[in-house]
Amino acid sequence: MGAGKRILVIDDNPDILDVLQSLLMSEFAVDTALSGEAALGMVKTEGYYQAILCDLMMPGMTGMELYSKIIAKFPGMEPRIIFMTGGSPSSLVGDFLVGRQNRVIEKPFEIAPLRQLLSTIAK
Amino acid sequence: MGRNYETFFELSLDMLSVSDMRGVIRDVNKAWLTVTGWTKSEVVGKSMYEFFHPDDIPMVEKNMIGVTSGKPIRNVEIRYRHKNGHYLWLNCSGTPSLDTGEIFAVVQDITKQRELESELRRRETFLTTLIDNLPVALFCQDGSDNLKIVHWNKMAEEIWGVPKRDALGKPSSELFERFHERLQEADLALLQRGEPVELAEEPVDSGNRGIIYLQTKKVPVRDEVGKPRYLLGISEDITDRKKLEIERAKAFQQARMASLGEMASGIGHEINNPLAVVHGSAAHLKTLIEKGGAEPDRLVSLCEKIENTSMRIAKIVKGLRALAREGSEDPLRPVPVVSLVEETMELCRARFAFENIKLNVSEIPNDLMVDCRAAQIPQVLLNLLSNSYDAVVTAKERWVRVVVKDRNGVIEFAVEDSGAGIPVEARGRLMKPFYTTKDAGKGTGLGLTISKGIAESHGGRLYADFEAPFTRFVMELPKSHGGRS
Repeated sequence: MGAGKRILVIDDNPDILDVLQSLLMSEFAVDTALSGEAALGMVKTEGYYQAILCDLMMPGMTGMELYSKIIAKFPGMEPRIIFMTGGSPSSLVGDFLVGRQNRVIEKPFEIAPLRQLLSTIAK
Repeated sequence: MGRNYETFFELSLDMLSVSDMRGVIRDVNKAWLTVTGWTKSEVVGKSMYEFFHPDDIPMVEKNMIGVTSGKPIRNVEIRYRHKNGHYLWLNCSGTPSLDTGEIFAVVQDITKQRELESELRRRETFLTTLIDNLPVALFCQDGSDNLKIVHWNKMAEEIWGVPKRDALGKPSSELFERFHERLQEADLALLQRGEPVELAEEPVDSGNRGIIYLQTKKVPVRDEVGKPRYLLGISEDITDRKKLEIERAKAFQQARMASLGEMASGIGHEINNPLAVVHGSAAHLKTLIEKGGAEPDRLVSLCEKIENTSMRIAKIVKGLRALAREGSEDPLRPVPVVSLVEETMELCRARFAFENIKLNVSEIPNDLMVDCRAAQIPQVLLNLLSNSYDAVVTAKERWVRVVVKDRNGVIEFAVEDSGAGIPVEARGRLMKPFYTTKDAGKGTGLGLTISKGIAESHGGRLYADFEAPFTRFVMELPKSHGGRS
């Protein structure tokens, strides 16, 4: 089990959460949330999660809104947030990503580089 | 005059008159009085010139010059005043008698004939004007004389670049030889068959207009005994219409591709998510197998997840493929309504969900079928849903629903939404091509036009239900009674 490295995965697709949890649980303590609203309540302090993996396109609170809310509360979290996308159906997403340093992972993803990225960020 | 001649004079059915050399009337017969309406005492002793139409007097005077030298007057047509004021047309022939100094005249009332002639002339002028100004080229060939051109209107002059004076009298083969071979044989055969024929549209190199497209109809005209007499040709320049047709087909294709493109990004999301699940599950499976000792149930459940998720992707791809096909040539087949609706839903769920638009579908019985071209009906539903999406995406209340009902043999697909509704001024024009209420660059104005065409080609219809308390578009299709159900 992940020695104290705690990550949060947010996606509206429970199968994605399930798969990611199974694949990452050997290295991290993986929490999951099915919506931005649920995730917001789980980020209690700035250091609680070492990395956050967040889907951009979700019904209800989008990944972009969740991101803004988290960094408004905990500005230090900004580099720890990684986005996932299944392709960008909205020009909003494109505009949002312009000029941001955050890493964006395209679905479907190779698990080894993702593990490595998370390890680097969660240091 | 002897008694017999007097009787003959009085009873003659022709009008007879006797005047002196200057035209003063000496005597007229009964027929003359009957036709002119005057009594004998009113005309005898008066000059004929008093009764002539003033415009005709110079002509009469000219004809009278010769009478004093015994030259007869033949068939002079003059207007003569009837007692009640109107003019009669009379044909007069007279012989002067130098012995008595008198002119003996035989007169015929030709008023009716003259009226008929002028009526004929009016009609001919009318027809010539009509034919000349028709927006189609009209030419007529004489069937009994080498197919010589006998009519050639202005549009014919313009289209073939041949003036009327050059065309008239020429055999048509000479005029059209640069366009057609063996035209004369074909025309003669056509004339013999006696039935009108619409020729296939053809490109023609017209002098003035460049290459134009002509559509020609040839109509044999028979005479009163049924013998083919004339061959009428009517050629319409359909170049503009043809260009428009091509443009329109292009625009329709573009509109279809645009709505497809709109959906494509949403579909990317719909496919990549399950792909991530498949890919991740396989990766997990591999790890578990490499490590060894995993529970078989866990392995099986991962395999099942891969299977199920792959099928979901296949379903989306199937829906997309159906949509991308034009499909208008496909035969009608019975298809379950539920699969038509579900296929469409697969393609737009993500897009609606992302904007937080509630998208609901009513319960649809599995055995409900319609005879349709399965590639086309989802196009219509997708178009209606896409319109709803655009209408509600900026609204406060955001819902769209698809309600399917079986109404006495008609399947009603209603797409309803919480949008602002259709402005009254747009209602009459909704289905017209190129009409759109969307912002510039957003709508092509063809979506509903194409959708309506599809519904109608299925024996159904598409309309906006303005009675509903919300925006509601309805497609009706006849229920299928045959097929697999």
